[in-house]
Amino acid sequence: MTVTKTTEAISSQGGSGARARALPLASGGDLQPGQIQFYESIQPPLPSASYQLVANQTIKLTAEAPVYTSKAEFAINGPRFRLQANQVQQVYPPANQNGVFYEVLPHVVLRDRTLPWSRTIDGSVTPAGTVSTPWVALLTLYPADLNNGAISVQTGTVGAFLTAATNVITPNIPLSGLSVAQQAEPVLYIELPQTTFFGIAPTLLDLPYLSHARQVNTGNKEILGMDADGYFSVVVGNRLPQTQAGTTTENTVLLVSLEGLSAQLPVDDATPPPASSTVVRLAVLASWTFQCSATPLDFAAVMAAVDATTLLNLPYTVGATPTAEQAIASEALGWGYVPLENNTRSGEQTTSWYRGPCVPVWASADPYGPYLFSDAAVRYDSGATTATATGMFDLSYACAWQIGRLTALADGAFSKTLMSWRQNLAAVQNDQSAAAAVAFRFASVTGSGTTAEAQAALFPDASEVEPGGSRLTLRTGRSAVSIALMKLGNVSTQLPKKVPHEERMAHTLPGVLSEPEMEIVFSEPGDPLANLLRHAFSRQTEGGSK
Amino acid sequence: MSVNALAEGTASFHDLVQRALSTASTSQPIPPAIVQWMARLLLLEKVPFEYLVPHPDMLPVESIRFFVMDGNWILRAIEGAASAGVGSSRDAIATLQLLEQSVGQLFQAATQIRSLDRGVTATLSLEAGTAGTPMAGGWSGFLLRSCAVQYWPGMEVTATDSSNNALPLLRMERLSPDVLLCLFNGPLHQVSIMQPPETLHFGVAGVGSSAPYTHLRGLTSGQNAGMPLPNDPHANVSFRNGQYPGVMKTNATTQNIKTALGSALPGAFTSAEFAIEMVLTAGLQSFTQS
Repeated sequence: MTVTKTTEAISSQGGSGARARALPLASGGDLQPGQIQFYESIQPPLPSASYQLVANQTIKLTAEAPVYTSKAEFAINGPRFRLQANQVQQVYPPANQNGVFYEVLPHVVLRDRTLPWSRTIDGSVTPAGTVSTPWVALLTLYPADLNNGAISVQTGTVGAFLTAATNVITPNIPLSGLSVAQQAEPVLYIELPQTTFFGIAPTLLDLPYLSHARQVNTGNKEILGMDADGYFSVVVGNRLPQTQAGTTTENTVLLVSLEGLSAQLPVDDATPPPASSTVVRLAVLASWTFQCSATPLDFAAVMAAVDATTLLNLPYTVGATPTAEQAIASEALGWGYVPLENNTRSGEQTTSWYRGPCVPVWASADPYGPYLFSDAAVRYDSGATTATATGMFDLSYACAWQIGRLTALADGAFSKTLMSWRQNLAAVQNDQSAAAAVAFRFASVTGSGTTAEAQAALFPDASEVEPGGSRLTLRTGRSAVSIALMKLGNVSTQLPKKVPHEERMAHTLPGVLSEPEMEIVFSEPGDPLANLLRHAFSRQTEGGSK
Repeated sequence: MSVNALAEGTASFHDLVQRALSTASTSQPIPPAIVQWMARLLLLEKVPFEYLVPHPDMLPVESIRFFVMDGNWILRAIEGAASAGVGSSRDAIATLQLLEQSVGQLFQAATQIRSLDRGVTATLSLEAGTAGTPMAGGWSGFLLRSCAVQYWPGMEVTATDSSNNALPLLRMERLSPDVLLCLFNGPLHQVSIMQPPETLHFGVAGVGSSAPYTHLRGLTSGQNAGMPLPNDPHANVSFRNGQYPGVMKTNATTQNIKTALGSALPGAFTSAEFAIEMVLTAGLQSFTQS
């Protein structure tokens, strides 16, 4: 058996390649699971700003019409200088992830569907029915842009952040518009050289294309980590990450506020950055870094190189005329067996076959299971004839048994549940056994030896029996027999004292050995454990056959 | 059945459990917690990697290996797990008797674990006393060891049998940064591994070449919105020149896209349309067993 591969290169036509390129867009009506709807923007009912509510009341009298005016001021405080961490639904490339991202434009998914449009970049009022220019942007910064770490995100207060300083361009947001409390709020900011900012920031014409909103119905798929259905806004970066040959490069992505900085944005794509020592101060709403791997490989190239020549077995080659030994070995290897060294219980070193649960060929059901202990699952190849015997053990299923047991023992909660279930099981068996004993001993009273008849005679009141139960129980802590004796008053003398010896075997529990049998077990030659189990099995067999 | 039938190999413990089953007058359902735990063991959760791949040469770097599941192996593991804390032969017989009764239920539970883990279903829904035929049709899967597993997390895997029926995924897990294990409910014939289109990140094809580009998708319902356009038109993605490489001329690129779309251009071209055009295309790789 072999495995063949088909690579769908990115540029291939039709077929599954087309499926890979398709976007599950909404097809009208409600969103179906897995579908996405893209929106140019989702405008807030009112952008975040200060507002004045003015109410005029005109009273019309015959002589005059006085106007009474009432004013109320209010503000909509949307995120401005900082963003709560939980507002960021997802970032891509994932934070701190190392990967091949050389062809990826970073993006951030925000929970607030209106955030990119919740304020205006220049404080102007957006005419109704138009889309405002987003006030946030994603900047991708290479190590050199940050002077290899010398430039980093700083903390400060909003007041200090907006206060002008020499050679520093601050956002054109008047301090007077902010309350004292607002000025004291913390802010994360970065001071980028104006040259850098001018070189990488999007233009005013670019900005509207770099933010959009989405509605998703995640159905049964994970979409962009958006676990819940609903609306999200997405800000896309305008710069590819840096890759360097032979190493991984740390790229930093900043979600910055451009409010009050529209005059500092590049005019167009061609104007060279101004050469100056001035820095631009930017409020950082979110930031993350990721490692971009150098290997400029695409998915198709990597996957096309994956080796699919064999199934899951140890590779081997066989000559044209294999010897008998080679034939046996290659057959075993082809079935997924691996020769591994192991120590036997007596200490000697040997080589045995092992095969895991993942095998290259279908296995037929093992007719000898289930097993009570792992040694029972050990197989020995004595061969059909002496000539073909390899004398090797196959420890596969014994290992499986042992790892199952070890896994169970390693899990305290599981072992506990298993034990309480088993105790419950034993209690049920005990009840059944007690019921059988009562039925037998009271046969002379009840006329027959069935549990149901004994129960009907002894417990005519159904309420004394467990709901729906056809069994006598030991709920009161007294034995079923003593309860029955109480019920019957003085008839006890007529009862046989015990289950007659010759009948006892029929009433013992499965797997329980009598004392004489135990004596035999320990007096027999050979492994006591094996003897014990053999007797337990045979008891079960004989008991059942009676 | 003779006393020594077991020792002689003419009777197995299996026979004894079967006999016990036929005379059993009561059944204690296995608690859901145990069913779920054992179902996870059936899916090889917690089984050390060395037990799956005993020799490193079986799974060299940059390789994919198909396999089928050995039902005996996982049943032995279940028996071993059930043996924990067995105090007597009576205990063992009773435990295995009920396990045997419920083995179909365990396999049924195993097919629901993935839904459970993904939060699609809250509880296992099992038919009581399903003895059933475990692993009807067989389980299969593959191991992929590749840097692709590491570099493209969240790859999407679809599998079909030889009649081209889709196989339900039982388990998909990264066992190490570069090893991916997938188990399917059915005999695996072909598997397609794809960069998940729903991760929908933005990007540019042909980076490093002289003319990076993006594939274009339909934007109007008449042209199958979101589907690749006929003849697979491309639009060039422009970049700024100068000392800061990699900065996309966003507005200029939108002009390129509009031009390339030609008659497929909708009335308005906004950030929504731009996003649809710029979502990076996913690669796809198929492996077929023959």
